[in-house]
Amino acid sequence: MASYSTNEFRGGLKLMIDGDPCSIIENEFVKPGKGQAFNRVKLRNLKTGRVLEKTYKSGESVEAADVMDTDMQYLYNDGDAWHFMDPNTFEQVGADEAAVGDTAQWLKEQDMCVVTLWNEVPIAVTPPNHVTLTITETDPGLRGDTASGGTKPAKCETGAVVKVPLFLEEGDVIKIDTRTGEYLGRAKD
Amino acid sequence: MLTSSSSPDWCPSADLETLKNRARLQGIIREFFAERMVLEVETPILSQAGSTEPHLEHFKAVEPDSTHHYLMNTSAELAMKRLLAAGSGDIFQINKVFRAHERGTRHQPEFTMLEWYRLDFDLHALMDEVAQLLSTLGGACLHQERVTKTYVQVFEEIVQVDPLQTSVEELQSCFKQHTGNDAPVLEDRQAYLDLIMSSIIEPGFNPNRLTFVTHYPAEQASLARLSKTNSKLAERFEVFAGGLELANGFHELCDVSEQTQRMKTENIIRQQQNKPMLDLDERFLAALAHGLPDCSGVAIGFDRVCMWVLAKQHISEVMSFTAENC
Repeated sequence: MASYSTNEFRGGLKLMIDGDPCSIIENEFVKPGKGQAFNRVKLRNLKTGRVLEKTYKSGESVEAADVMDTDMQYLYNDGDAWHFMDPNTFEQVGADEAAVGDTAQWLKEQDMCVVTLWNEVPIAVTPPNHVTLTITETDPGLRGDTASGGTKPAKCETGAVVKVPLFLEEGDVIKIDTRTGEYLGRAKD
Repeated sequence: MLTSSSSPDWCPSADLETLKNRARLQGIIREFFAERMVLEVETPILSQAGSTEPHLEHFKAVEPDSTHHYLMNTSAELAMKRLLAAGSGDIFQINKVFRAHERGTRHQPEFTMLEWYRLDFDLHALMDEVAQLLSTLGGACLHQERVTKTYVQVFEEIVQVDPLQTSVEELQSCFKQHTGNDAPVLEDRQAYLDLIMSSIIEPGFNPNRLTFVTHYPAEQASLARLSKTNSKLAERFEVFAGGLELANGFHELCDVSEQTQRMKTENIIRQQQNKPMLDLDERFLAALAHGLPDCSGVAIGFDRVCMWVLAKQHISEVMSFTAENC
């Protein structure tokens, strides 16, 4: 089984901690001049997203997690799973609700996402930073009101609800930052 | 001059201003010791024998096409004590030392050590001199108020345990209570004391003070003599600026049989930790047998002092180049 010594620890390294795959956020080497050295590590559990801290004796080895971030194209949802395809190998995987979570609201067919695979099974999906979506439901637009600065909720084709300026209407295509959920502007089409 | 983390790889890690300050601080140190008639010496980086200290790992230097193998020194201590035994009188040195696998915000595998020895100084006389030097280096702008506490006191005050008595189980639960995390599995009680010292106690020191910690447990005596009044304690001190460890000093052990015994014990610990056992430094032991004068000595991480004086958070910010870009 592959493992890493604390000497190899660095941000982004994937380790198995208590049966879950985790990614190192921060690694601090601490050592009293004459004493035992330690690595104090902050990790993110890749399944739950939770942040944890661990202290290791320096030189110790920790089991590596077989975790890979892969660029994949979102294909479709069959009601049970979201299906993705690696555009290089045409290999397809299905991600369940636990892996997709809140990302589901941003998933538009054909868009490229980052799928995190653990032992080749998806455990997390990261949407593109920017997505272009069509508004499917919103209150009637106040045409011409491009200056008042007011906003209203708008539902998009993928189910996401974002705050948009009052002048937008159903059928308009907009650009959104998925990291903040903020409306960025109208998409030029 | 180009600097900073976004600079190309060939650029220095420290900015030019910092390098000038570094030179200025070394100048102050040399002046400080010249005024006190302490002789500057140079001892080799290469050594045929190594230090048996269980928590230090040597770099090896191999001479091509030859049977000569050297270890690179982890400190100049043994060589400097040979000078003392030869009658050098008070000496100091600013030199490079090498410790494998030590990398972090406060560690580099190659770094600069200031080390000095004073004849007939006891622990307190030397601590006073360390405080004087640090205040000379720090200038008027820094907090240098000094707090002196024993190792037992800092444990009792910050984590409410007696480091000389507490069991491994109690130390594990003390760590869990203060950090919320399980303690790693460690070899012995001393390692748990190191764990609590470095993860809870040191970060808990007053950030605006120099903290002197004295009288470490006898098991952590290293090359210090044991206290005459309590053989469970060693005449050893450390200096911290806030939580940053700056210095380690000893009232030096002169007894050759006790020193030999400690080195053998250290080798046994090294063996238990699957580290190479080392030949004892027979030249050093012969010097002790000849007679080391009563003295106290201290080693100060010069790069750390620069970090403290110049308010830098990362050791690479005070070095021209580091192990990452040398």
